[in-house]
Amino acid sequence: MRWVGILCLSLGVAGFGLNALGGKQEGKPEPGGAGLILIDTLAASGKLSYPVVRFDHDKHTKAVENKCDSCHTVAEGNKVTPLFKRQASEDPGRIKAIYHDNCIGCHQRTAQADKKSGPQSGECRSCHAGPRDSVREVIPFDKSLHYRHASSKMVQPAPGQKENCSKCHTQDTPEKRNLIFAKNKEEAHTKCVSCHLEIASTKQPTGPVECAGCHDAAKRSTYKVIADVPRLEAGQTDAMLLVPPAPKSAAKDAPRSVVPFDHKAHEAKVNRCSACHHDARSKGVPACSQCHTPGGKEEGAFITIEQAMHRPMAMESCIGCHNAKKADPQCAGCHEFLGRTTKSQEGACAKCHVQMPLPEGVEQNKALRNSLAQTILEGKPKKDAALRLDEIPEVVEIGVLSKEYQPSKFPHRKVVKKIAAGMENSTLAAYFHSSPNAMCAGCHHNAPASANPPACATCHSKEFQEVDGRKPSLKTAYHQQCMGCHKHMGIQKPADTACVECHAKKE
Amino acid sequence: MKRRTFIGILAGAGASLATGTAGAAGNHHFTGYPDSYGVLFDSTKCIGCRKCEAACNAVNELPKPELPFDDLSVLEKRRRTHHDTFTVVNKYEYNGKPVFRKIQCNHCQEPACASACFVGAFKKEPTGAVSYDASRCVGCRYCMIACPFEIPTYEYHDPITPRVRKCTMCQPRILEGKLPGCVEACPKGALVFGHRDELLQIARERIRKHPELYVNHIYGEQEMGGTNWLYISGVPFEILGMREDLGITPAPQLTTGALSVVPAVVGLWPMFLTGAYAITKRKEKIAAEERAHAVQKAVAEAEAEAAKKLAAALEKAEREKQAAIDREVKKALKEAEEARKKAEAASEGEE
Repeated sequence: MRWVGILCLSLGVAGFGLNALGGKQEGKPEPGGAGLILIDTLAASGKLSYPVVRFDHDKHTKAVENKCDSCHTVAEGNKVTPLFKRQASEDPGRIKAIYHDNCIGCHQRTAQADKKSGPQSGECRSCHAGPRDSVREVIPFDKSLHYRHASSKMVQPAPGQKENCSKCHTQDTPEKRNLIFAKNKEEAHTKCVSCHLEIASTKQPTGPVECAGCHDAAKRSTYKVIADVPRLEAGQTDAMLLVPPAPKSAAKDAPRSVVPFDHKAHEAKVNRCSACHHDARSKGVPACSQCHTPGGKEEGAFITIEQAMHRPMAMESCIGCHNAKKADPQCAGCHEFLGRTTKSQEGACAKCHVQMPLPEGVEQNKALRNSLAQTILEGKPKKDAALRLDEIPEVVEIGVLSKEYQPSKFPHRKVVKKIAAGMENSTLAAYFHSSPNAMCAGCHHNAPASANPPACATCHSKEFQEVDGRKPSLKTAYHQQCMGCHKHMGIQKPADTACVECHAKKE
Repeated sequence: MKRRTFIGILAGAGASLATGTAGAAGNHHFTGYPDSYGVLFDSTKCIGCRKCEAACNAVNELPKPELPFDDLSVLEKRRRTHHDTFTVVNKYEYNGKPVFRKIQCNHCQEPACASACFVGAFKKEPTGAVSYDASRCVGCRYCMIACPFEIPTYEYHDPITPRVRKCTMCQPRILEGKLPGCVEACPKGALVFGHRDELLQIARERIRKHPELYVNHIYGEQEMGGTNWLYISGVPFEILGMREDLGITPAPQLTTGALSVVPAVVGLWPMFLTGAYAITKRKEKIAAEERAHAVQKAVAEAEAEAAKKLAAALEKAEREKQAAIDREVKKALKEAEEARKKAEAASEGEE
């Protein structure tokens, strides 16, 4: 009898243990809207005795019918202070009283007027509900948005200034203008919201005043986007010569591995300046090498200049951004596999880096450097070399493995045309595809680019070879190449499993 | 309790504990046969064409299914292995995209089925395969309970010679130098056959080179002490219906403690029962003897009593006889006396 008891007990414990191990963790609650603010003002002055307050700003904006002065001090006509019911920070006791008196007071008055209202005294945890994620994100102020502001009649120059840039950017010279407001939330809110409100008061169309208008991606995606934005005038150059630091032991006239960089072309390709100038501060645009030194330093998060330019996974680096471009459908067909199967190409560095001795004084003179870069860039191809389509086979019959199915008739020329069309107007492709046969290497990889590439079976064996576990067999190679390219280029048909679409079944 | 018996009990307990731990320690982790083969399944390459299923069906000479193998509508349902289906491909969904997973025996390094099988029908072979010998099988189906991947199946429809059925890793073909059927048929290279350690290298290399494509885990490297069938995937393995709660301890290690007692228990039963039988027998014998003894005694006592009574009766009869004789004699003597007296009186009268 005693044994039965012990057995039951141990089984119970084991079951509990299994529950504890296999029990699912509860998922996070759904994130709140962009207007969700967590009020934790008092956290700065000691431990909170209650969880932080969840406050839906947009809901309240609607409730007070866009009358900001219900909660905020509005000074000098339309300057809205982001603080609640006060101008400056005060002592914690005062702030607590301000919140409690005003929030609860307003809720009570609303309730007495027989309107829908918020929590009142005694319902502490209805407001003090603790942290929660929201969908709010920092607004990417892209070129289109910038142009819509800069070209707007409503944006007038600040008093005593000529350019209307001064309405938002306080600095007067273009190269000193700050590019991002993100570092100073209060300034951004004061400036943007006040201006939007001011324009709204004149009954003109204006920008959003509610949180979601700027901070909710779904809401933002409904806004008009200007496709062809004229080039921004910020005193930038068209081309520049990037000069990597020279080793100390190098002779003065030793060739340097410089990079002529086409700034103008890149401007047109990116959505906003901060794509590369990711940390431009109010002092303007500092040189990359200011923070990213050869050895790395704290201001640059210890990212060296080499990493800043070449980090494959970072979108701010040259290579990282170019890699991301390779994922575009018209490129991915070849590049997904090239990246996977080929070793780094000989001469890949020389695509950007030019070995040349720098004439005396060039390194110190920015204007000279930039004109030198311009000269080098003018020599670069602007268009991919034309393919001689008549010289390439129209249909290639693939039947080496034919067993269950008939040989596949591969429309070789049609495929080549399709791929060529994808890079027709791409300066990027023209710049990096060095020879007319470069495109052929997309499929005919790991062999010298030529008009007569070796057959696939030269490297991919028909039979399974143990030593070649890393290299796909011929059957795998064919299917992986065709299906992989179709998948990455977003070609839906034929489906991967529609075998007979490419090779008819043998009867 | 006597001091001697107490010490005896202690010694006995110590001995049994010692044997228990010896059993567990004796089962140290087996890291697989060197140069054993395996298969690596790469879920990112699988397109769900079911060519592997068709090949498996052909090389194992299994009955043809109702629907042909190029009918992909079966993927809409979750399927599992059966006595006539050693492998199935299932379709799952992740972020709106289909992902596939092939199910078959994982050929554990330390198979749970083999450790549960008390007739040794399952065996881990040097090729890496876990083989099954129908001639040894007694049909208890413990293997089906033991398998954490729910792989072995049973020919329930066969009343005479039912077998347990599962993927064989095509061991006969491997020994001939051929590829397993499914691997040979795969058009996309989603299945790679090779030495297990080699496959681990390949898997690691793919994960390292393409962190954006793969989940950083090789399923089967450690699960249940490691399996010879390995998986890499671009989605969490849970999505592919694969258990992630199995831990890395091989099944035999979990059960060896308990199972090591089984032979002892099995061996001890006859002794215990014989002992119990002997004791009861002995009790019965003693009781019978005592009973016989008692009966004898009772009989003897009764006989003695009877004899005594008889003797007494006889004596009494003797005495009564004697008394009667005496009485008769006395009577006769008296009568004779009286007759004599009469005669004397008569004679006197005559005279």
